[in-house]
Amino acid sequence: MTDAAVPKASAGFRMPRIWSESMQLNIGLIIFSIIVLSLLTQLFIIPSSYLDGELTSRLKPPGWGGHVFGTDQLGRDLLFRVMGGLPWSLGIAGMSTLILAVIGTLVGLTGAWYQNWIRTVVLLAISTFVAFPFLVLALVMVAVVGRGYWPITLTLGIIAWPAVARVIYAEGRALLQREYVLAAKLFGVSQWSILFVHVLPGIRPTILVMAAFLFAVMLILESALSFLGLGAPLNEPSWGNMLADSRQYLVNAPWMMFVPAGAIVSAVISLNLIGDGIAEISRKRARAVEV
Amino acid sequence: MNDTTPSSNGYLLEAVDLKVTFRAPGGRKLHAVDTISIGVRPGETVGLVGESGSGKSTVALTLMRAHEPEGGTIVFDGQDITHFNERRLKPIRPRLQMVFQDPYSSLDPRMTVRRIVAEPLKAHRFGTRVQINKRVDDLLEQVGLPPDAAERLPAQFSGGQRQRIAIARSLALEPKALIADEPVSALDVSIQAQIINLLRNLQDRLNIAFLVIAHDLALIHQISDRIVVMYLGEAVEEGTADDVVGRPQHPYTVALLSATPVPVVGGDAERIVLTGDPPSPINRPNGCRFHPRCPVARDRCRTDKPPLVEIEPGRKVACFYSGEMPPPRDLWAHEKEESASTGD
Repeated sequence: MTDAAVPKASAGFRMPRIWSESMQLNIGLIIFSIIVLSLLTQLFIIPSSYLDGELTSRLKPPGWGGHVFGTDQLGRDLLFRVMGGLPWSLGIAGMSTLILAVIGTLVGLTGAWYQNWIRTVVLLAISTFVAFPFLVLALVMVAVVGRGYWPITLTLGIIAWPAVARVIYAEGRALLQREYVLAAKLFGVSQWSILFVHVLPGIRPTILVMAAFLFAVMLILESALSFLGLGAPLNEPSWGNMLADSRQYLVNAPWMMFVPAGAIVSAVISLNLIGDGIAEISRKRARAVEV
Repeated sequence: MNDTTPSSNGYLLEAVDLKVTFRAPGGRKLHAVDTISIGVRPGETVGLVGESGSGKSTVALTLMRAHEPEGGTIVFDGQDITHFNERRLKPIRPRLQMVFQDPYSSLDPRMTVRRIVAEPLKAHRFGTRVQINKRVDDLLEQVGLPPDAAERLPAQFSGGQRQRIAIARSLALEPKALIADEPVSALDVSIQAQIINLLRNLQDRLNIAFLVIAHDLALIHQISDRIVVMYLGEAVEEGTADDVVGRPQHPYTVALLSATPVPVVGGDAERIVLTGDPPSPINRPNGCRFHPRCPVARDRCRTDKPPLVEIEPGRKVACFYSGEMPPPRDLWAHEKEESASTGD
């Protein structure tokens, strides 16, 4: 028993506590929580009239008359608008990520679990969806389904699940071929237990990492759709809408571009940092756990 | 749970004319196991020996019903379980358990030892959490692991300790029959003896019907009451351990024996070294499966397949010329002398 002195390791992957060993994850979480906190703030503090502008204070620079980020071409406060855009930009991205992670995991695991025609169908479906570029597919679907909060959320969620499904399929299949899964089966452990005890904990880090990265991708996609006028209604303060508005005033009022662009960039960076951080931690834990 | 109904010949676990084929690329058939009959009685240890690819592990996994047999029957505890589905197998599973070859891949690296050993207990609703925990502690003690092992992860143990964990898991439900597929081949030689002794002690105590699979004839001889020698999916020789090792009747067994290192100073006997690899189970030779590598093969062996015939009670050989075997050196002569002198 020479290894009796080895410290007790935690079993499996756990969601990190607030301050984790990964600096990337820490920074990412800080930026992201600032963004989310400001979403909550705007829900309770910002006057409901934030959408109304004063035409007398059009295109004012940041700091003018209490407008921290300045105003736009209709005299609307840019800080309030960028915060008011959170439900559209971050909300849609978050919801659609949830949808695509659930669909992707279910489909991927289904393909990994069955060895018969179901697997063939799953793989065919994944390949078919992957063949279309995200944005093109999104454009077509929005054109068919129409605009609005839920149509766009569903569209984004439905077009991106194959990315998750493909990875989960591969990982799930590798996990199911492990001898400990066969052992569990031969001990009479039920299929659901095998799924929940051996397979899901094994793919959890992958799901989390992919969700973080795809969250960022969805955010960009939603902004792109809004920028093209296919996303949020024109009067709604989506970050993509705001960028589209700023094009005509790039020279006179560049802050109109910097504010929503900065919001998108910081959200995307924070999500990527979170994804990288989770990947780093799960790699470290895996190394400690595998031999 | 202690009531077992062995079949008429006393076997608790028995395979009759077991046949397993896999589909190979190109629509051909891979004959992994071809009409093997094997039986284990309670308290008995049967060794299944053969080189890599001879179908030993397939026999084990088919007996555990992880592979579908193409033909033959599997009888466990008086029940024909050959075509049981998973639901009907569930009550069988606790009594028929298995130890895997590789203790590195057969334990989930993310689970603590306690959860690993408790897994079969939970699956079969052994009892309350307290009862399960107590049983796990008992089992870990039985296999010689320290009490604090339960809360650690498999990665914190050596190969031998991991195999002990796997054995504890297999014994959790007090099986009546245990199949061990190469239980020590992944371990250091220095650890092998410990694990073998552990398995022997546990078997003596629990009166388990024990089927051990290995490629090492010396090891099999050490622990088995009877030995079945496999070649290319078929049984070529069967008998008591001492008979098979002491008076091998099949040239393949003789070759296997002469490949075993001689534990005697000056024991430099004539060796039969097999040339070439075993033939592919997809494209098997006609006649005797062993004839391309057999040192005593004749024309008849190339065309006719020797049946497995009983030459003495409980002693079977599949060779036309088994009576003409070159006299084998008595590898274990020194052991017999020792045990005779100690009056064992």
